[in-house]
Amino acid sequence: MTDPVAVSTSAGTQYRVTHRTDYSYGATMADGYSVAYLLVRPTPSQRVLSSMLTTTPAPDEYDERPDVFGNRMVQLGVHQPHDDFTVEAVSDVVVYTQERPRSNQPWERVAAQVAALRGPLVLETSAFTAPSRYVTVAEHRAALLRLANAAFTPGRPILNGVETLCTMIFETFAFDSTFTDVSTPLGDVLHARRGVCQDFAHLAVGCLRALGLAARYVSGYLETEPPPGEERSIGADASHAWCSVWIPDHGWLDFDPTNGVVAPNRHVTVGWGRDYADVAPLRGVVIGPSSLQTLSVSVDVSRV
Amino acid sequence: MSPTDQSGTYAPAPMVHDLVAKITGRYDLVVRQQEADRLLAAEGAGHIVHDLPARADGRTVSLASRPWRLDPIPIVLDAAEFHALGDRVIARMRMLEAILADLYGARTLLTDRIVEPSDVWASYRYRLAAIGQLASPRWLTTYSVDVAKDTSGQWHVVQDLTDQPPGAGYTFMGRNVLARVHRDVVASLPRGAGLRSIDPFADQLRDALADLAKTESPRIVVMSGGVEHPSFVGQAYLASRLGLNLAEGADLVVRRRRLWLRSLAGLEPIDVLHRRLEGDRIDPMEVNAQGHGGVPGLLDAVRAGGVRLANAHGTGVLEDPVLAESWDEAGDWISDRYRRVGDVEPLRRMSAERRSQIDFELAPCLVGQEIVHRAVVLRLQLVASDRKIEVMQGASARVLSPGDDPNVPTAATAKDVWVIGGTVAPPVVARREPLPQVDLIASVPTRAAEALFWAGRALERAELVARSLEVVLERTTGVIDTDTAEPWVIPSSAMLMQIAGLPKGARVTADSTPAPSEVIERTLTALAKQLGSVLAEVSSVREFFSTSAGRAFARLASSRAAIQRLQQDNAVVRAAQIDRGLLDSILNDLSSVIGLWNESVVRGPAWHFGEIGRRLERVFGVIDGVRGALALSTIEPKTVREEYDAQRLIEIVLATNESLVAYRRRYRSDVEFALAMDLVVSDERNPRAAMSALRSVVTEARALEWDEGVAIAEELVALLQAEQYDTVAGTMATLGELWKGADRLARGIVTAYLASPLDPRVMGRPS
Repeated sequence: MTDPVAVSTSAGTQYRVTHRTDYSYGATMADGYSVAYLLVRPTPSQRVLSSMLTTTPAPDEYDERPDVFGNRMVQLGVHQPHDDFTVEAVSDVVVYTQERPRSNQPWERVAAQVAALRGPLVLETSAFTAPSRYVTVAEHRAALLRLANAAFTPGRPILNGVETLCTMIFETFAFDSTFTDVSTPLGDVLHARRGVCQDFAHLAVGCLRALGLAARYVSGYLETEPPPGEERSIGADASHAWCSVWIPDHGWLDFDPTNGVVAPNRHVTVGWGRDYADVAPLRGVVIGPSSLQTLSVSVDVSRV
Repeated sequence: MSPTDQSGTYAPAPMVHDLVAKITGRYDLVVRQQEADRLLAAEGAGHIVHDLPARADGRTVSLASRPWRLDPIPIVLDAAEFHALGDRVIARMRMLEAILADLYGARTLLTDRIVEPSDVWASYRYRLAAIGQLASPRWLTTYSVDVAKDTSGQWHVVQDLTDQPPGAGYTFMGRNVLARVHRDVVASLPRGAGLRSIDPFADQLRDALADLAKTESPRIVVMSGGVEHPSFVGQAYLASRLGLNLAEGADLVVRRRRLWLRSLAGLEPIDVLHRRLEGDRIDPMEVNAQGHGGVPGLLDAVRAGGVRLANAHGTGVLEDPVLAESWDEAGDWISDRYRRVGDVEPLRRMSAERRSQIDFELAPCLVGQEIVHRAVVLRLQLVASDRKIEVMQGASARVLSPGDDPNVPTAATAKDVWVIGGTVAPPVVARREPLPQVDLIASVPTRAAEALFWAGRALERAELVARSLEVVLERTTGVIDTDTAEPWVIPSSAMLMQIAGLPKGARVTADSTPAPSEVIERTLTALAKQLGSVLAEVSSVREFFSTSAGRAFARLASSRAAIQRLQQDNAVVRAAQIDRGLLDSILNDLSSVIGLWNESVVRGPAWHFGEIGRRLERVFGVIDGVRGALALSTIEPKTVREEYDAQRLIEIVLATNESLVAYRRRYRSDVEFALAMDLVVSDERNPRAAMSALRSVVTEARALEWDEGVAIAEELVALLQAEQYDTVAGTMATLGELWKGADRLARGIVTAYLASPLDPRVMGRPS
């Protein structure tokens, strides 16, 4: 699966993304292994000028390869004694306005097509119809369907359904960065009606999958400082997450339930997967004595 | 050959009937069951108990394994029937290999929706990292399949085991036991109807593993899930049966895209890993990995060709219960697509809905004193090499209780499966040059050396706790808490506290010493804990100990259980209630383990570490005994009565160190403080003295070329040679110096050799 390089005719916006993560282990570690999803990938509406990852200490092993979804996965090994570990990714990208689909069929018809696909499109979509670790559709089907059915009334065109669902989550769920971390169970989010961007992305993806649609989780960033006169977006100072729904004869359409936006154009995409677990920005293990670790993350996304 | 009826099933051959009748008809079947229990316990299936305490490295052992027994009545199949069954499971293994190649390759089963794609993606056993990988040269090196026969004689697949196909180790173990129990029966089988050996399977498996590597003499290790893994006993048995090192995640490390074994000799490259750990646990770096028992970066090394896995990563998807029903149809579709004809029809799985309608053929089983007939599920073992797929010529089976789901039997009874008759083909295994990693003496995983070090310490301490308890109890005549109890009872209970490691602070005081009966109860608890440590450590290095040691371990496990029962029955165990036979038996078993340790363990690096552990613990034990006894006593008697009490106390110290008889033979006098101390601490002719233990430490440290250890131990020898034991205060000061030196030795060896890496922890989370 390769994504065509962006050919949008509209004038794009160029961004520089700086994502820095500092681990302080509180003791000397003998070995560290990490996997980073920090290098940005090209998409139909995103051109990548450059994307670089550096670490301190420098890695003894560095491998980049595409994962099963075509994301740029970096595997790092540090095999010297180290107390701290810093990972910094700097990317220059041009983001274009996403195209909206031309046709707008009833959502049931889309679901039926998804279920009947044959050939390569099965590989493009089927991973995103299934329950996954954080998108526990089977356990919360009833609650997810209550939410989804309110947006996707019978016969409703799919775009209108997505817009309504996106707005509903934006308006009726509270953004609360103290409430959760990234691994909050869907049930807690549904019950408390609050969460962070990862939770809302999981929630929206869960609603769509419960309806039989293909929906994927997108990991990336949001412009930090808005253009003059516009409001600052939610989730701009950290990694951001949103989602994408598959529409026949069009492809994937992004929407951001945290900000209530369909086809967003101030979002920089890193990659996508079934849920957070597939594209967590940085994960890893260290080998060394027990200690109290601290972690700090900073993200900056600026127009160039 | 048995006759084949029209439906293609086999009527049982008369000789099968005869043999089963002969065994079930035996008057001594119950005795043979006991014999099987005893042998099985000795093999190690018995001493891994459910509640072993924390190991030295902080990991706790809590086992989910179920106790199992081996039924004395084997299941007997004639060679013709087994051969036909074998051909069909071989065909099934080929079918599953083709399905895996498609699921992780072209994925036509998904794109043509032969298997529901979202069900595949929803399975955590469908491993993302394996998609697009070429399993080179094959996905399935081993395959276990559970099969059952219905009353019409048709065989059905109950489940496929493809991830880390279990059971080969247990099958070898079960056969070893049952062939011994029925030695006479096996010997009397008529010519042409002999029992087929399962031994060739071990060679076939080792060759198949070697086939995976690109090098001529590959290094192969068996990766276990550790003592915590429910199949650990089988894994350890298999490794020693194959003559391969058994390694855990912490023993292995990935560097420069290769896999290495951390051994005492440094890092050794590994070419083939026979994993006995589930696919989602082998590499914590993979998406949605479980647990921390794996090796970080392992799949990177696999991808780079730095190590070959058997089975390949991702093969567990076939076991997913949601998907399992789809494979027969998927196999049909693949075989139609590739127009395969003329092959043997793969044995088919019975669907969950049909399962309840099938009447299984029943097999005779011994339950208590009676023979009852129960349904059984057989687990066959297959191995694929570059040449062909082989089926083990025998199997193990599980007995189902009425109403059991064949996939999850509640019964814990296993059966050995015998194949009789047929011509025994000469082995066609191509002989290879001896594989280098077979040298289990030199290349010892660091963790194994560490386990032996702690095992040595725990063994010695357990012996000391048991011995001192016995000595004190022998002298109390059961009266310990009343005013008539003799005065030395209090100091001797202080000694027990010290030896058992009970005082919260460093030293025992009169205030901190509870009533003697409570001390005895707590010492007993401490003994059970020490025995638990011994068992936990030796279980992870079972391959270093003989079968005779296994028997002693099994008895120690049951003695430990007996102590725990005793304590459950009574909040406070009265001294009189302690079964002296129990203590005797524990001391006997500990002595036999220590004896076997000296007599039958090869003197390699591992042995030196175990020996240093044991000797250092003796030094600590001598110090604890003397310090504890003197803590509440001045030993400078002012009256004749006090002199008598002091003598009794010194006698107890001597007896605890097994030196009382030696004292009497040497001095033929009342015990005197200085002479007694010299005997238990400084006398190098007394093998129980701290001095002898130190001399051994010097020898072992020299063998390891551990210069720092030699220097410290020699300093301590000189310290003890100089001490005259004139005063209690002087003695205590010397013992304090000795303790500090021994502690430096104990810490030094761990730092110098054994400081093994901890289990990997997740970055960015407090531990």
